[in-house]
Amino acid sequence: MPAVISLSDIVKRYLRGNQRVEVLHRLDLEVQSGEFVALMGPSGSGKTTLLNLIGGLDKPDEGEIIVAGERLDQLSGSQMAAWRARHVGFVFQFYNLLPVLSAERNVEVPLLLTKLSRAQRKANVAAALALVGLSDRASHKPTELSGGQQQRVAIARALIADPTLLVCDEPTGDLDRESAEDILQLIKALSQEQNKTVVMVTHDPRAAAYATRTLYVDKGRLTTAPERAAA
Amino acid sequence: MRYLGLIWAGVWRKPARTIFTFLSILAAFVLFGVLQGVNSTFNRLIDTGRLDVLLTTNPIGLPIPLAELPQIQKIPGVSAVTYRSGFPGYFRSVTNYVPVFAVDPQNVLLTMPPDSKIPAAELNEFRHTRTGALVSERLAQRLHWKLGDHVPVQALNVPKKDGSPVWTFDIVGIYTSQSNEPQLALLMNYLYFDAERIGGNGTVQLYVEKVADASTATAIANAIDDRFVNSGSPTHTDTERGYAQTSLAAVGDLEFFVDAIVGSAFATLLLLTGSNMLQSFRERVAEFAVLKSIGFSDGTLATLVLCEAVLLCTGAAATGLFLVWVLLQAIGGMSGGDIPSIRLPGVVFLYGATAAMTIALASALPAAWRTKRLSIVDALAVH
Repeated sequence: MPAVISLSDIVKRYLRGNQRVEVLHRLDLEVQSGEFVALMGPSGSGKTTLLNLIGGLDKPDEGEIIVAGERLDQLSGSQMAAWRARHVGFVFQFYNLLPVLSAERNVEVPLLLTKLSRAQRKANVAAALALVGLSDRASHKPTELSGGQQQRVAIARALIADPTLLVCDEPTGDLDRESAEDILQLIKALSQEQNKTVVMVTHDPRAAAYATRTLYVDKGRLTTAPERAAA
Repeated sequence: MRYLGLIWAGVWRKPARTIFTFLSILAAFVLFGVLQGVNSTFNRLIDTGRLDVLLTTNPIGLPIPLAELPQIQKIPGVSAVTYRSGFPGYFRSVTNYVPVFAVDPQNVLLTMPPDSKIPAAELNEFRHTRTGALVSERLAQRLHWKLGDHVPVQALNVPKKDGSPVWTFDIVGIYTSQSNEPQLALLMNYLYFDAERIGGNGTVQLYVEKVADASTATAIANAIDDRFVNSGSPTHTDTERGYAQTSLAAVGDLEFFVDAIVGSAFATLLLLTGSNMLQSFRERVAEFAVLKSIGFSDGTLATLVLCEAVLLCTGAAATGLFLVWVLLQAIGGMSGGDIPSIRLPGVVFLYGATAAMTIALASALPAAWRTKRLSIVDALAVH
């Protein structure tokens, strides 16, 4: 089975002041379809940078990166945007919902980039909200929802376009324990039942325990934890 | 159209700011509409002036002797000459204003608007009735006058020989006209006027000359003025259009004032809207980054920002111009034709739409550019 994510010899540098700092050093990674990978590591280790590269938000300075069959390092900005719309769903730590839109309108946003009719979009949104258990909160604005509910809306938004890959950056970092458990259960179920490949950055070992594989990023290098069964 | 909801939501992100910006734009376009309306009305009044009709007056507004009439008639190129005097008056109440013009009954048509229509029998009756009066249809409607009425008109500055300011007329004709404004007028027989007035007998306020060829109007005007340059009553002659132009120029260079005021208002608007758009961009950096991460391209997002400004500016401009249109209609209706109605020609709406689009695009361009250049990674790292 070909890897959904394949990174080889990746180097990423940032300009900090007048200095170029190498954040990722000759990094290699392969993730298979349906895997739920947790990326752990201390702050500044480069795990979010790695996540940004996998999600097509940034490009490496060196190396080859293939995700969902596309050489991301060779795509233009607009090609990368179109690729993200087709293949990636993002879940952020602070939900990043549009405050002026209701839950259902937030979930609908990625579908605006498709050719689906209004009725089809509405049906898909209803299905996505049902999947995350928020059908009864469809017309609520983000400010009218709890943190856990907002993150569920964000997950519905990430899933609505049926992406190949779900990229989660500290999805439970702003939630209480109970809500965090709910969200992690949901992400795990999506990975197992809908065969979504999930890459999640987390500081929390309890969150990482939901993943099928945990990788550690330290000083720009990747160390593989022993593969283990799903929690 | 599928992005309209997103654009609308962006516009109303901060309702108070949007409402104030909307009102600022609306106010500027109300000003623009009113001033353009006044300007175009002045231009319209000038354009209705005929080029083949000359008006001769005294340079400082004194009456001119009627004795000059035969000399003007002899000037080559003049095909017809008539004259006009008159006084402002009112019927029963000062609010019922009646401009009275004393004219030569035999040449009355030259002093009337060119598109005037009057039955031949009524015109003939006017020519043979000393106290007869022709009134414009609008004046007749306004004062509820009809043919055969015997009406007293109180003169404001021309009393009769017996000291009475009241002039009585018999309505013998009612004429209609669409083109000239204002359309309030009562035409009386000059012979009745001159015989009954207390002073200034044998004089007129102005001569009206019809020239055979409009291209020779200036030369003929000069010839008329040359004829009387050394007389006791010198003249100033100009085309009807030139006369209107000179009269309106006395108000000032209206076009310059309009351009200056509207230009200042629009420049202020540009800064205000531009500042608001940039403020809105700064508040939404994280949202734009998220939209980009979802798959919105740089160009699409920049276009959405421009569309927000266009929606706001054109909406406010359209509302402003519509309000002006309603206001001018109401004022025109209330004046009853006493003053020339100020109208908004279609071209003002076109100019307004162009101005609104230009302001919107120019003011939103910096915000749109920044949105286009926004780095997702940097924006998400900061916000």
